[in-house]
Amino acid sequence: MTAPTATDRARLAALPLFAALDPADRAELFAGIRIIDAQGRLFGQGDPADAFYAVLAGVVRLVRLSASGGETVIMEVGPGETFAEAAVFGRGRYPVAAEARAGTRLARVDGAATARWLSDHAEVLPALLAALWHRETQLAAEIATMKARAPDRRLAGHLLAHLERGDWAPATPWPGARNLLAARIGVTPEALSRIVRRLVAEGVLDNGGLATDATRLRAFLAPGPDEKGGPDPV
Amino acid sequence: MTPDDILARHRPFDALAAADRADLAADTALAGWPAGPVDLPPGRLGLILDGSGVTTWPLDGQPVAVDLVAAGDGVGWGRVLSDAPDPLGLHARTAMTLALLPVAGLRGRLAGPWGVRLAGHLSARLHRLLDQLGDLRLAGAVERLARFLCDIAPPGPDPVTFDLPGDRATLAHRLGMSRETLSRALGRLDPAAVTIAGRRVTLIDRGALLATDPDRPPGLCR
Repeated sequence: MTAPTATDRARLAALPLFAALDPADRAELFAGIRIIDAQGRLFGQGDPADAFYAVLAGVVRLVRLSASGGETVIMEVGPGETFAEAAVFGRGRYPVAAEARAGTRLARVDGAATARWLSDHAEVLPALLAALWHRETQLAAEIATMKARAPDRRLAGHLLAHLERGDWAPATPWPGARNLLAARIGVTPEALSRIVRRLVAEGVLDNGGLATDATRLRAFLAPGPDEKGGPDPV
Repeated sequence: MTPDDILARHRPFDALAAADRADLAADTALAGWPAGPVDLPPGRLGLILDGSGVTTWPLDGQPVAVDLVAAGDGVGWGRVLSDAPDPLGLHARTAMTLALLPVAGLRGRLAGPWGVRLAGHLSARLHRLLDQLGDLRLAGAVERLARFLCDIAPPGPDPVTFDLPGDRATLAHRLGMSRETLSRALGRLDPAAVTIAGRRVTLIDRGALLATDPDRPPGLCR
């Protein structure tokens, strides 16, 4: 772990969480922040939550594990986002594991020191609370998707989100691992293979590599008949 | 009960300074809604005083149930915490009474000691949603039902008796399954562990209830 560079400080200052601070307070807080060039497991599910993190570059996967070996990617956190604030200010243990993709650069914000610091700098609290609310809406959207969309539509929605964010180019192979994609949409790798075969047959995906484009995905996701197995409409 | 008494008895408003609470209470009104969609008035956060329902998320043009809400839960926090429109809706499954608190008054108190308490309160809500999402992704219908019953059961030695928070349709929404799947899951619960008659649940043996769940040590509820 190292102290933040000038570039890191500029990136941190741009985060909504710290935007309300004046330069002197920002410098005081940033002095306690440590930079990590991370790859692989950052913390485990159930570990004491002693810090929260800001992503400066790269991607961190938040993963939920079950004792029986099940694993699902709850969400992926990218540059400009923070994660684990809720664990630090809540139950005190991380409810998920965090895994950094190669090339990820993180700012580690010590939880106890920040809690003490916040008592004198309450002007940061609205931004912290807004970050927690943003996370709640992300989880609500994921829960609704899990309840109401069949797995093939969850896959299409996930692929479309990546295309719309610009982190995956149309008509190019999917850049990630298939097992992670399966974990992200809540199916087994075998089920993902079946879904992909079906979507290739329907022309939504190209054969091999999952290549597609937003037009085809949007057409597939257009509202249709009720899906099987989900909850009844509210 | 006066609005001040109501705020003093419900989290996270109980953590407000007495003067702040009185100030908010002076601008708090009560209102009732029948079962169905609830449109909170602009500039108001709702605190449910009685009744139950579900929060909803708009997906593919339909509101989809996210979480159960009942007396003591706040709805419309997005109005307080964000400048963006709050995407979460509220659908009352029964007639509902809400205390309507002023959003502006709550916003003005975020940057203070109450904000720290509110962060803890929101964290608990986040963990609940995270648990639900993990269950949806990783657990089968019977396991989800068993965990849910275990989690809403009152503390204390077995057996305990309590009511389901809503009808079976509401329970199916919360668990992310159709009513038919819920009926099958109910039928697969061990009658030596739990019995359900209408909305009345008798939890006889938590350890036996969770015996179907490989991810929970016997007797451990959240």
